[in-house]
Amino acid sequence: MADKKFRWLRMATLAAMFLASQLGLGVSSVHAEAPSDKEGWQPSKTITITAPSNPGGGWDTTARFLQLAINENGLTNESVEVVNRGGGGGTIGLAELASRSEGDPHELMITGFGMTGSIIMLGSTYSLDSTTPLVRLTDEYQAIGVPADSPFQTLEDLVEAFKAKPATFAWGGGSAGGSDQVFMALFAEQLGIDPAITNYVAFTGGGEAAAALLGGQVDAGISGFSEWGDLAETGRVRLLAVSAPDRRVDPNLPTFHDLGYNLDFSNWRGIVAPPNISQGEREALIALITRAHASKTWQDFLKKNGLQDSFQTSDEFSQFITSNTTQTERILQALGVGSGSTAGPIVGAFFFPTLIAALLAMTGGYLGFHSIRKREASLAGNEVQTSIEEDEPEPSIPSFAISIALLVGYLVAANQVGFAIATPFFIVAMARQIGSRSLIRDIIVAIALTAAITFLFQEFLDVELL
Amino acid sequence: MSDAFSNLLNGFAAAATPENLLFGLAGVILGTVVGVLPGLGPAVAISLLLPLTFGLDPLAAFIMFGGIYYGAMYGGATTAILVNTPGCASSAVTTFDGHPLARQGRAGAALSAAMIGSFVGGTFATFMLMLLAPTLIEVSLLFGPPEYFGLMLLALVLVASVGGSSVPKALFAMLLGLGIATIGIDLQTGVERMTFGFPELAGGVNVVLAGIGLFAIGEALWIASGGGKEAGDTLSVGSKVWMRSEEWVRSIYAWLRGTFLGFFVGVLPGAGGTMAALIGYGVEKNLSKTPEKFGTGVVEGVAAPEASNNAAAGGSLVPLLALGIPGSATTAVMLVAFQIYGLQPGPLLFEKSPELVWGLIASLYISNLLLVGINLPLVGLWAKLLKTPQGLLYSAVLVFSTLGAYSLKGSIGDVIIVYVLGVLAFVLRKFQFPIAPVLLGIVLGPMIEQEFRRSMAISAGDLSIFVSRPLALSFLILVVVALVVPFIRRLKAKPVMNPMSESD
Repeated sequence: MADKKFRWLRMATLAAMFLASQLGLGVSSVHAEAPSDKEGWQPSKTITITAPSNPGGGWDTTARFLQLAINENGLTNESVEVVNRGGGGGTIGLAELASRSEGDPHELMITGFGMTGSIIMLGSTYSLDSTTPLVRLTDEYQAIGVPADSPFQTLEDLVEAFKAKPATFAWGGGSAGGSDQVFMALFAEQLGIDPAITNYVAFTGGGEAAAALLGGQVDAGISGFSEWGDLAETGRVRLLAVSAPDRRVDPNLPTFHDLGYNLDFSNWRGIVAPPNISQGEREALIALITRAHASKTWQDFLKKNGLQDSFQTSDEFSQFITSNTTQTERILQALGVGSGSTAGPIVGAFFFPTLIAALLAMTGGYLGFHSIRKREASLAGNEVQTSIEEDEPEPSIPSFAISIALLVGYLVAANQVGFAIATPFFIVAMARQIGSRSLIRDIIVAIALTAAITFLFQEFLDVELL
Repeated sequence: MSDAFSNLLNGFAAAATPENLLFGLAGVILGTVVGVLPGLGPAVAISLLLPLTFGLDPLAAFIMFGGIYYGAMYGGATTAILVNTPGCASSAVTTFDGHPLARQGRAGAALSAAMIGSFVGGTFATFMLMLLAPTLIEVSLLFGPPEYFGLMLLALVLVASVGGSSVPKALFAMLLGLGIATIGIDLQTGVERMTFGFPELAGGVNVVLAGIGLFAIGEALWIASGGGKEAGDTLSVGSKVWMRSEEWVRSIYAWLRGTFLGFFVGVLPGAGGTMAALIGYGVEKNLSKTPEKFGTGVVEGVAAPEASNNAAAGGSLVPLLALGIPGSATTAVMLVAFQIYGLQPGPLLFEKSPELVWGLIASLYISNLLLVGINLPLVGLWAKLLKTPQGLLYSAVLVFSTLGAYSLKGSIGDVIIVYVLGVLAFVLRKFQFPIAPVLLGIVLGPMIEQEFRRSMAISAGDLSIFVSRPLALSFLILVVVALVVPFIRRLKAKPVMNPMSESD
């Protein structure tokens, strides 16, 4: 939905692009490929691709370019849209797909390595087994990097230092249980180091981790190969090894295999459908994505983002998911991350919440004691100054209750009968509650405003309002 | 340096073609719109436009993205001031003084201070970006987790007492915010905390939701429950739209300080616009002769954070262009855009595609001129929005807030979160607790906690990491100074205060 809302943004851009092309700017047009020939199943409404993250990340980008590849090349008779369902490391999107969209071939979702990790760590009810895997799309290899002035010239130098002090050697990378940490753990295992004792420092994103590495805050960093980019090219970061099976990403960069480690790892992404769709529907969807995969739009996207093509379909992909999940499960357990684990970093997850709760109790206790003392003082007849501003009328509890009831009623009603019907009633009632007495004016404004919002959102932004 | 200027001239030549200006104009208008609407920010807008700009000339696309980035910063301030609804996260701080000014009938002054502040911040930041990028980036790399921890703690102390006269109450409100900030999945361990089994809470309560809930819904509920200050049907717009001359003088310093601080905070990866606005505000408050007036409606309280958050937008382009490291959500999306065009931001970009980099820098100057040119004449018109009868105005605020929260993820859960935060804001206000420190806690809490834990991991549990590093130590000394100075001030003021506070 968040995506549909931006139809007007897109329309504005398209208008600007059109004007630009009229002015003779080099706006390339995309050539349409022949639409599908006869398939067993054809979509009967808009196909939705869920990106189970907020806009901007890898899943979101993958979803949007897949959408672009299908729409621009006219690969189906229906259009494709992208919606974002962020939260819970992808498990929120997964739960919706598995529970609400069962059997509906129009609802697809992007998934990847990160989701298998979140499912395990958060103890999600649904797993990728609750979906119908369609196609594995891309792979990204992990690379270990050190700052230019680091004493580690080769991976062997680093290994020596890591082995010497496995518990204090600081690794920097993305969030706990993500591809960076899991890869670090797999590497540690190869060296005979227990992943549970390693010292991994999680950063909010690859950029922050890279900055910490450049500043010498951590001993070594782990990130996707393409994310190192210019830092590696200019020599600010020295890459020591990459997790690819051969020297495909950079002929000058050794792989872990080259250096004698049995270590293959990729941060993969793919697309799945809801559970219980028919075999015919699954085949038609795979055929659709296969055509999108072959398009120039998609191939350009792969090249420009430094992604490896890991195209794999149906059962082959299902088997890959199963083996990947087993490996991730084992390594996360070894690392001791996620809910229910006891191992953890030096300052644990519940240190701050406990500290804050204690401080809240202390401050609250002090304030409570203070107000009792004040009350006693006032009972004793002493004048007590209060800090209430005299000119501000105090709100009344009954009208607060009415306001809350109106708000909750609005949410329920919008959910039940729709935004367009609930909103004018809410505006008129709320305006009256706030003190308006011009009923006719309020009704006119409420209807006009609702119509304007509905028109704006549904015609231009194309949102299903609540 | 003359090199930079000749490059810039070339940049202007590349950027100032009619087509590119058109894209710039489209960008600033789109940016202003997403800035005004609560919930939508520049990062979302740019990421949704990405597939569309695929076939576009890269310079044209980046001129548009730059326009969106700055435009959102301008737009966010407008609703923050007029209806206490921060349109985007980084303008949440603007509500502290902007909305009180609007309620006093001085919306015009607040809007002017914000618009000019945005212009000054944006323009000077672009200037500094152009000249100082390579130097600054080395300075920013000196910041490791212990330094960030010190800086965040300083920001917390500087702003902590905003809008409240009672220190324990402000402290309580701040702790509540810090507590709310721990909700969600822990970054370091992947453990779910304080979610009480609700999957909707796993993503945590972010700054956008906090801004909508605590300020917009909180304010509307307060008015709806009979807490409005005005007896009449509408708020007064005030006859004096422009700032008074002494306000100009105070604002000029606030703009410049805000710009300077905001830019440096923006350069630090991960700190971001909200952080910059908080620090700009906090420093201005602590330098002021009348710090107690902050939070009740002073123009510097609007001028400083607005200059800061726009300057931070410019600053955050430094690590992106100089190293290829995104320092904020918006620049992370812009990094993806660079990669889609087959461009790798970093030192090589200046060599490989100078016309693109300098064209982008030139377009940032142009965006700022366009924005101030569009927005300043509209100040009077925006202020007239307050002539809307209160009943209708606040009903509309509630409708837009509901839609804004819903639009983030299309989840009713987020709407419920903002309603609950609105009720919390109401209850706090009823018992004379300030609201701003709650937001402060929500913004700074995660950063303070994570940086502390990262520091402890790096030092293998040795607390001396905070005092053995000179930069970290200086921040902690500043924290102590900031805590002690108001105390000394109060002691000095005691003889005068005594007769009045006898009954206390």
